[in-house]
Amino acid sequence: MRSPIGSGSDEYEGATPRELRPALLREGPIEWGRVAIERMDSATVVSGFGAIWAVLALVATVGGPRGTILGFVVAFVWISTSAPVAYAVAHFSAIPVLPPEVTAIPFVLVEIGLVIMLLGTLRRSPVPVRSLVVSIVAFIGLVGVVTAVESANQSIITQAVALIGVGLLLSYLIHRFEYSYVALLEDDSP
Amino acid sequence: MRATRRCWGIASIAGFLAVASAAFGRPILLISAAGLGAWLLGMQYSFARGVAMVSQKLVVDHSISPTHGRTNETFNATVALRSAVDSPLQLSVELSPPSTAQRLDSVSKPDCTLAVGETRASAVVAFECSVAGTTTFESPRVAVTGRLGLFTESFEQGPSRTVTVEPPAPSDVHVGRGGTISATHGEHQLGVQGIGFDLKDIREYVPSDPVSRIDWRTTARVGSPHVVEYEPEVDVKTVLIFDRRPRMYIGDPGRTKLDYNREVALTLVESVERASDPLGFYLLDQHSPAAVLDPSASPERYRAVRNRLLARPDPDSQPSARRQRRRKSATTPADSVETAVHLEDDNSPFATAVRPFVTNNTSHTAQLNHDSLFQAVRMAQRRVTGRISYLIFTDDSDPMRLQETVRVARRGRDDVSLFLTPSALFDWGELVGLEQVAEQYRSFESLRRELDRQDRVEAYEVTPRGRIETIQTVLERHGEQTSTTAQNRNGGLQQK
Repeated sequence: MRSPIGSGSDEYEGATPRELRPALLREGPIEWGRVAIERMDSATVVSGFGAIWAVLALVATVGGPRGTILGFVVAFVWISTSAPVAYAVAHFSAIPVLPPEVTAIPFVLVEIGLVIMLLGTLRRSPVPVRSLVVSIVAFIGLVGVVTAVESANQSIITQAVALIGVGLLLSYLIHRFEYSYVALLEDDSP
Repeated sequence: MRATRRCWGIASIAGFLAVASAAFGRPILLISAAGLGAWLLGMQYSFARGVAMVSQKLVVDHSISPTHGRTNETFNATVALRSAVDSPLQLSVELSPPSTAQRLDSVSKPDCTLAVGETRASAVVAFECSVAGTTTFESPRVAVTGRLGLFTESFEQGPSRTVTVEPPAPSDVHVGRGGTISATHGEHQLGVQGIGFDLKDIREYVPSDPVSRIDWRTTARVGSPHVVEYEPEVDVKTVLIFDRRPRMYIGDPGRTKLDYNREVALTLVESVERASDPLGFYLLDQHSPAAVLDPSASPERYRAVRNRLLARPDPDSQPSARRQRRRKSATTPADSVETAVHLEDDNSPFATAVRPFVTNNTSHTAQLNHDSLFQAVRMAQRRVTGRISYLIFTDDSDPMRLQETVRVARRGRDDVSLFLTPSALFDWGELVGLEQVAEQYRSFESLRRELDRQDRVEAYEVTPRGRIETIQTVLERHGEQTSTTAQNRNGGLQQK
């Protein structure tokens, strides 16, 4: 049987899970799993590791059939779409299924898996360490804004609006940084 | 930087989480929205850095081959990407052909792609240009795409390239001058070799030498015929005067007097450029020289002359029914001169009645002064210092003023090369028969020979080859075995 991404083929070099799915369907899980691990880039490996961690933590935390289904959904979304979507789905779908009495430790364990799954994709960046630092700083900043607004006794709606506004502002600053750095300002003229 | 649909999708998800946190009153969703937003900002920063790296490390080579061609010929545009480091992002290049250039291949865009981790890529795209003139291929546009497809950016990098596209040339250009050939004016071989001003050698006369070149003083001194040879003078400024007046548009489309003269003029410009001779240029429109370029030997000057020869003329300068009507109400001397020329061949009662009023309302000097060819020569004499070699491209519509202009042009040490298109061979369709064409051609040839006989003047006819051969046959049938026609048949320069 021809390997979809076997020796001599760079077809799936650095492929995302979504890109690898046709090979999975065509070649079967065993063969695909062997060569996929050989050929997957480090970003996919790290992100996949985080996904597995998060799925296992979710199953353990939620428990029962609901936990299994939730884990399966997160894994499926990660494979079929991308890590950020899986991250959002995991958070959104966990709200109704997480037991109210969940303690901080299981919750942190789930979050660690999801964050690794998300940040693992940054390894594809040309400057992975700097991107990671920017992401962490941005997260701290955004959470800081939310906290600051909350400490001012503002509603959660105000916090959400502040979060979105600050996020857009930071995005625009990076956009201007790129223009000034690459000297593409002339393209900005109408 | 532009966000892709995927980027907007993820941003929307983050926004949805923030809104959901407000709707459900669950701060954890707000934190997850912050996490997703922070990740997106990290990816955006990563892409911006990648673009900066690409713009610094990438070299885009862009070339067009050939740089000089004709309409409907194939031009190959080559684009090559070289990155000093492994490309951190996927790059693709699309060439920016002008609207007058059409792709010949049906390759789907982009034209060239440099994948992540690669350092070199190149592609060749074939175009053809349907419009003559100078065509500029703008700098290639490099499109950068992030590895996750969240952002794109594009910028121009590499040089723009210009190609000169000439109109389809008549394939049967004949240039003849009573048997003496000149194809290499720029190499100072136009005309009889050795006529110049610096003494080179005195040698014995051989039968192939023209009798006129015998130096009788030397012959008398040594007792046998001797010829003095001179070094061709190289410090000559060439002034090309190109007639683009309405009279030059006579002929079939693509085969007008203008087309034939232009073909010869382009060849001579190339020849002058090869010799690095200074070249000046005067383009004649109806009333005055429309473009004046003083002599220069710079590559830009040759290119400018070539472009002006190829430039599409102002539609108003081409004959049209409206213009013909307007010409009937001539008010300026130039108008009346032009009208008089036009009426010369018109035997209608109207033309007969009008002709005296048109031809007599200005003096001969005034008419000459308002002739743009004459003006161009006088202008060149005022503006250009040193010896001038004129290349004049016009027709035989106005023999009197042409002769007068040539007389003025060849003053001092200046010489004149005339390239004349005989109207008889371009009015082909309107004439009654070959006999009449032959008769008119005989008049033209008489004029050409008269001009050619003058010192430092060489007059050539520029005609369609097939037509002049036909006329020669007719003339021979009538016993016209003139040396000119025989020499033309044997010696005309024929270009393909």
